[in-house]
Amino acid sequence: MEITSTSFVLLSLSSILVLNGIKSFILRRYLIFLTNIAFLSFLMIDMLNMIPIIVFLAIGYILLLSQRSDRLRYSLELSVLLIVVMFVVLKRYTIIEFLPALPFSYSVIGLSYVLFKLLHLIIDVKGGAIERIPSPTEYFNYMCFFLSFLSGPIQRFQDFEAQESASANHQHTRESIQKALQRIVLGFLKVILVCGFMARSQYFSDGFLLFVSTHSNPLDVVWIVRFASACTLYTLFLYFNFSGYMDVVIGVGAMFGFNLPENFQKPFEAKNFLDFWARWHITLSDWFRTYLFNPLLKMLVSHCSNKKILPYLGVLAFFVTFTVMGLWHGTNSVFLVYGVFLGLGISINKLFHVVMQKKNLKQRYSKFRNNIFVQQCFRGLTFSYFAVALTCLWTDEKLLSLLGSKMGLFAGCGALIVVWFAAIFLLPTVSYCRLLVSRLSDNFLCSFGYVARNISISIQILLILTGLVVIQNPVVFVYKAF
Amino acid sequence: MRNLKLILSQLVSVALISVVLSGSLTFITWLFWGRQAFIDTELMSTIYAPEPIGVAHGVAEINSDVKNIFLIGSSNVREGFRPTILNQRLSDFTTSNFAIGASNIAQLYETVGLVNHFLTPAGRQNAVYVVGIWYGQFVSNNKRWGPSGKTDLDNELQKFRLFTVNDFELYPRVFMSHEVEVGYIRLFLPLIAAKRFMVYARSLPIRMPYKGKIDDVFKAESKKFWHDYMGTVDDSVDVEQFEYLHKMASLIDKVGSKLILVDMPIPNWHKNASAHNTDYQNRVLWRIEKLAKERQIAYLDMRSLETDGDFYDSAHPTSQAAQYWSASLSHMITESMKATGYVRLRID
Repeated sequence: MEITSTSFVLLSLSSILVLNGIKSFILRRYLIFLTNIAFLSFLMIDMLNMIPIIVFLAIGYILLLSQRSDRLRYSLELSVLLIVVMFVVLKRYTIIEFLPALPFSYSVIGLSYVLFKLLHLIIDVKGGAIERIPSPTEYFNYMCFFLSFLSGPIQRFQDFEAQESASANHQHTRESIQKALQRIVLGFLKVILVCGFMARSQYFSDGFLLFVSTHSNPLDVVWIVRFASACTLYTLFLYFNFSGYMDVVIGVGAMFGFNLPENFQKPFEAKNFLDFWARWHITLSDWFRTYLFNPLLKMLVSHCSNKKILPYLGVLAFFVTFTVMGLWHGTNSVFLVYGVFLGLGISINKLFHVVMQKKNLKQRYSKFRNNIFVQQCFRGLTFSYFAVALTCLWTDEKLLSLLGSKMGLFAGCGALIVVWFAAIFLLPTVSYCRLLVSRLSDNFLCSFGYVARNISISIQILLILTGLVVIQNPVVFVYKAF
Repeated sequence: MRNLKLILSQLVSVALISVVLSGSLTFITWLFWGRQAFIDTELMSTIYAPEPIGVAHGVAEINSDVKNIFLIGSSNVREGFRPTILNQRLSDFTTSNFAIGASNIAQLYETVGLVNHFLTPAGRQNAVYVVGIWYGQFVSNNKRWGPSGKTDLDNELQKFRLFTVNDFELYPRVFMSHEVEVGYIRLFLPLIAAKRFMVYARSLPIRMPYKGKIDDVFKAESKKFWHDYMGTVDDSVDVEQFEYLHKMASLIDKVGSKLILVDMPIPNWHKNASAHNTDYQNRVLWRIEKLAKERQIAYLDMRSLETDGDFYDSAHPTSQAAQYWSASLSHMITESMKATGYVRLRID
C-alpha cells in the first residue's frame, strides 16, 4: 500500500472519522488494532507473505515476557542476539547467503522499524524504564501502528502508551484540524508533485545511470557535472519524499489525537555533520544514540585508563555507530561503504571539534566558526558530503564499481567540490526565499483567516490531482525499501 | 462527537471550495481554449511523457460526426506524421495523432480498442486507422511492460476507473451511455487544462531529443540500446505481437472502420546494423502482407524513405523529413481510398 494510493487515503479517512466518534478507550484500542490489521493486509500480498513478520513479532513478545523472569541469566543479551540474528536471516544479508532461504517469498517491509521498536521494548523493560509488559493488543498496536510501520517515526513505547490513553479525551479545535489537514496535503504535495517532477529530470540519478551505461566517452567535466547534479537532485528528492511521508503520517496522527515525533528539522541548515544528524531522520539518530552510541561510549570509557585518550573515544564511538547505521539501510557491501562514508564524515567532524576545543585553539576556533562565510562553507560541505555518500542508495554493487572504475576518486572529489560550491550559494538563497514565502503567506493567510487557509488547502489539493494525471507514474515512498 | 463534527465541517468546507475552484477552472478552460479540433500527442510529448494522458483524455474529444483519421503507432509516427499537414491536404477528414512513444503492438491494439469505444456506430463507419509499424514494436509484453503487463495507457486509464483491461482489451466496469462516459471524463477538466498547459509548455526546452552528430560512437550506442530494448539473445522479434495485429485488424473490420498499415522507415545504418530488423523482415513482414491481403487492408510501404540524413537519431525523422513524410502519407491515403480491396502502395 502506497501512501499516495486511494486505499491509504480511504483507510486513514475512515479510521479518523470512526475514532473521533468513539469515546471508549477499550473500543478505540480495538479499532486501532483492526486498522493496523487492515493496513498490513493491504500491504502484504497474501497470508504466506506475512508469516515471517508475524513469527518475528510472536518470538519478540515471548522474549519480552522473559525479561521479567529472574531465573533467566543473560536474558537481555541472548534476546538481543536472537532478534538481530532473526533480522539478518529474514533480510537475507549477503553475509549469510550460504544459508538456504525460506521456500516461499515474503515481505520484509517495515521489519527494520519493528526491530528498533522491539529492541527498545526489551532493553527498557529489562532496565526498568518501562514498568509493565504491554498486553498482546497493546504490543501489536505499538509494533504495527499503521502510521509508523513503514518508516517510523520511531516512537518510544512510553509516549505511544500515554498518547493512546490521552487521545480518547483529546479535544480538537477548528484550527488544530485545519493545521493537521494542511500538513497532510503538504506531504502529498511534496511526494507527488515535487518528487514526481524531480524524478523525471534527465539530471536525476536514473538519468545519470543511463548516461553512464550508454556513454563510452572518456571522463571529462560533463561527467563530473552530471554526477554532481544527480547527487544533488537525489538528496533533495529523498528529503522531499521522506519529509512528505512524515508530514502525511504526522498530520493523520494529529487527527487521531496522536502527537507523533518529528523526523526532520531543516536538515540543510545544519552547520556541520554532527548538527546534520540532529536534524535528519531524528528518531533514528536518537535510537542509535540511546541504544548503541551511549552504551558503546560508556563501555570504552570504562575500559580506558589513559585520560588523554578519553576525548577521542567519542570519535571512535561515532564511527562505529554510523557505520552500523549505514549498514542497517541495506543488505550488501554497498551499504557497508555507505556506513563507512557516514562514519568517516561524522568522526572527522568530531575529531576536528575535539582538536579545536583544546585550550590554545578554543578562542580562535570560536571566532572562526562565527564568521558567516565560514558557516556557509561548512553548511555547503555538509550537504555535499552527504549528497555524494547517498550515491550508495541509488546504485547497486555492480553500478557502484562501474562508477568507481569510470570516474575514480579524482572525479568523485571533483563532483563533491562542484556540489559544495553550488550548495554554498544555493542553500542560503533557498533558506532566505523559504523564509520570505513563509512570512508572506503567514501574513496574508492570517489576515484573511480560516476561509483563506481552506482556499489555500483546496488549491494544493487541485495541484496534487493535476500532478497525479500529468505525471505518468506517480513516485512511491522510497524509504520503505530500507 | 464534537471532534467528529469539526473534522466533517473541515472536510466538507475544503471539498466545497475545491469543487468551486475546479468548476471555475473548467469554465475558464472552455472559455479560452474551447474544444480541440484534433488531438496531437506530439504536442504533448515532454520528458514527463504525457502522451498516454493525451490519448486517455483525448478520446473524450473525438467528434464522431465527422470522418476521422486516427494515426496510431509509436514515437516515429508521433513525430513523423503531422496532423496539421494531413488536415490541410485531406480536408474531408479530421486527422488526430494518437501515437504513444515506445509502444509495442499490444499497446497499439489497446489504443485502437479505446478509440473505437468512444466512437458512435456511425463514427466507426467513417473512421480510418493509420497504423505505423516497425520492428521495434515487436518487443514482447513481458520485456516491455514487465510481469504486471500494465501498459502506459493502462496506468492512465486506471485513473478514470472506467475500464478493466484483460489481455490488452478494454472492458467497461459499468455500462454507461456514450454521453455519460464522455461527460465523466470531462469532469476531469482541470486536469485537461493541465494537459493543455503541457501543450503550451512544449515550447519550453524541457524535451531534448538527440540533435548531435550521428557518428560511429552514436551508432554503436544506438545499436546496443535497441538490442537491449528488444531483449532477446537470439536477435528474434516477438512473433506473438503479430497476433495482436491480427486482433486489431479483426476489430477494425468488425466495426466497419478502415485500416491502413504503414511500414515505417528507419535510417539505412540502423537497418543494416540491426539483426532484429533482419528477423522482422524475414519472419514477420510476409505475415503482415498476407494479413493485409486477406483482410483487404491497404498496405503502404514507406521503407524507401530511409535516407540517413532524414533522421536526427536512430528512428526519428527531422522536422523537414516529417513534413515530407506527412505529405507522402496524405497522398498515399488518397490513393488507397480510391481503390477497393487490398492495395499495396510504395514510395519510390
